[in-house]
Amino acid sequence: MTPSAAVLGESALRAAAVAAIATIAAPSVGPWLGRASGRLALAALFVAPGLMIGHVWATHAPTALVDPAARGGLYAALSIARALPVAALLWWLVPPRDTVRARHVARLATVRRGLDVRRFAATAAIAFVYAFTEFEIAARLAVASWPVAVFDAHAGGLALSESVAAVAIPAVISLAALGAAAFALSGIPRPSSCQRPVAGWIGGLVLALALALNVGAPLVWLLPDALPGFAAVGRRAGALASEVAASVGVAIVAAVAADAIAGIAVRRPRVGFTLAVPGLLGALVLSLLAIAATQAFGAALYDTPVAWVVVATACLVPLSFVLRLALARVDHGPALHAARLLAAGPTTRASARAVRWSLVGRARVGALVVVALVGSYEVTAASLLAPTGMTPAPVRLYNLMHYERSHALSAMLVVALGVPLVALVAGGWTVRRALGGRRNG
Amino acid sequence: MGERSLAGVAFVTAVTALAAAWWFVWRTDDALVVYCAHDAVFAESILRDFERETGHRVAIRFDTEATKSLGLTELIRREREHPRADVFWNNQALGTMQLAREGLLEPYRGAGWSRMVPQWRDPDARWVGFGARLRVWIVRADRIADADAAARAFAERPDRAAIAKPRFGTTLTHFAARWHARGADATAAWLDDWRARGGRVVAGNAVVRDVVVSGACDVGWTDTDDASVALEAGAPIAMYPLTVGGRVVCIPNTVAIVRGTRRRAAAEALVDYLASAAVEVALAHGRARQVPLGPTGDASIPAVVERLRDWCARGAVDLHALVDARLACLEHLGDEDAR
Repeated sequence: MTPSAAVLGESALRAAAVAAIATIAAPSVGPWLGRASGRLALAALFVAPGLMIGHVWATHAPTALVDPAARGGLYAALSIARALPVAALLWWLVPPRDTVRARHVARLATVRRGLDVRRFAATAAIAFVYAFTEFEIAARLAVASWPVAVFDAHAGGLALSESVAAVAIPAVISLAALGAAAFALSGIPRPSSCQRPVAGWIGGLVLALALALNVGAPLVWLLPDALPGFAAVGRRAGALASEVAASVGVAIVAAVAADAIAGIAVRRPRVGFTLAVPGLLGALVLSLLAIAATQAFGAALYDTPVAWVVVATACLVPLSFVLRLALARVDHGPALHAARLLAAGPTTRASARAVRWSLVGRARVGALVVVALVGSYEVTAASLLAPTGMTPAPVRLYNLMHYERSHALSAMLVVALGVPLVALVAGGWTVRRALGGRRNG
Repeated sequence: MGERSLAGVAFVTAVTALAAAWWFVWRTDDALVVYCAHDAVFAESILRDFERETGHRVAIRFDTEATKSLGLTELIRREREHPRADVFWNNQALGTMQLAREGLLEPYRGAGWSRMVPQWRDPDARWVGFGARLRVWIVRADRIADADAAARAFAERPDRAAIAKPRFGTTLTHFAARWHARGADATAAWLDDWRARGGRVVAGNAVVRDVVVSGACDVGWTDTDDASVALEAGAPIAMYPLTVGGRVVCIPNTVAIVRGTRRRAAAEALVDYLASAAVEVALAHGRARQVPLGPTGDASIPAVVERLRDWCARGAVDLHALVDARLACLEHLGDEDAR
């Protein structure tokens, strides 16, 4: 059994529309990456858990839930807001067809330049895969979507072999899109340095709208609703701590491993792109393959966290790779050159390390925190692969969300999603301080 | 220390910490493994009480709510060669009956089984029922006055009516009852027609409740536990019993010992514990307002639950007869999804 052609077609068309709109907005939003406020806004958009977005909109827009057209419209809007940081970052990473000088000359000569097709195609293709494999929000809004259909069918008793077969066509579609992205990227020269575009008001407006949809509205609805529920959360604090520890623990291991893989890949972008492909296929495809593998070849690994960690790592590699590429594009040329010169002297080696750390190391720890946060909010792989007795917080929340809307649930959501944020940011800050201090000292 | 060395140290530290935590905290080798399809909101405290009272450590795997009960039923079938679960607490009966039929459950004639009336237990003692829910109409109280008006509104204005996905949960049992009573073709044709006229199929019974509470729909099918939560929160709704062939659809929790358990004594203790009068009374007092099925003596039962008990006493659909209808329903609805 495969997802029906109608569901698959609807998922693909919707993802294509989402990717196209996000990519059209990307040139306006991308320049905001040059500002700290813009980076923070885009990071918030990217990290905002689909679980929270889906739950809050599902409970506050019941009219949309019963009307398929309204439901589809709402889901598309949320998906665009979610894809926006991906498209903006990719647009920023993929170098333009023309150099800055060429564009300036064209402007002076009032020559109308055509669409930068390759850049648009590369960005849109990857944004398409990101939107095409989305699960959490679609499941919560009950939108017709292939990952939800396959997940439900598998949990509902579809044989593993049939479930794996069911993801074949979506996987081929994703691979085709990634192939198109690779082709588009192959014709683009590597940038010599980072160009600093100007952040305009249109991009700011689009960014603000996306933030309002996926971060602002959910928090405005969630936080007041949660206040009366914290006492109930306190009564099961031990269980909740165990659930949060499970999801964060696996996410940290996966993030560190993904970062190591991305570190190898970033020196050879083609290798990196290849290593990122499995993760881009989505958690559902990988989880089903992992279950098949553990049942066929690794019975001893069944019901252990190993398969979960492996799949979580694979899913985080694309993000780690893109963030590594982004950091590599930031132009620290003269400063790094100075650091290299300093490193040559035996007495100035420590200072060289300190300069290099402040230029590169701190940002890398920040990127690692973002990757771990995304991993700690993941539902699909955790739901299919977490061993008995090790229920991760997002899975518990996902289940509770289907049951009711209550103050206790809102409070649990705030705690379960907020604790990883605070812990990882605080951990990242501590590491940055410790390593930075040692290197400065 | 170079960056690569630091990354290596970070990776080894993280892996070691996770492995140690799993080995010492989360590993379930010595625990009674319970697959629990009942809502975690209600089930967890009962299982933790069992742990405290008996000293048996319990590791719980809850179902994926979206595929309520079906997921764990199927997982037990998939794991038949290497069972992980010791006890299955299902919030349904038909899936458990299917497992019993396939020889995946072990018989146990304990105190819990003995106190239960025959309608709500397996004659071969492979499972026992306790604390039930009923299928009900949930309506906007200001728009619909009784069960007949609810049925009329449901049939005449499908665009203002909602049901959960019929492939899962209690809605599946409800469909199996209609399938059995009215025939396969009639039931399938009715569903097709109702949906074609704009009937709303939503993610679950809780969503049915929410869309009626919000006024987005006037009427829907849901369970007493979902409706009770909204009623007690003061929502402007009412509930009336849904019937098939003049009988209410009463769906008990069931508990069973999974074939191949390595912790038989602890499993028996849990079965007796869950099927006890004390747990049935506790479930009646819980927010889910579940109906005790066995004798509860002089224990005080909330008035709303006594009302539900009266509905049950008028006659409930015989679930033992629905196992085949459930399979036929699943096959039909699965094929429909594939289309």
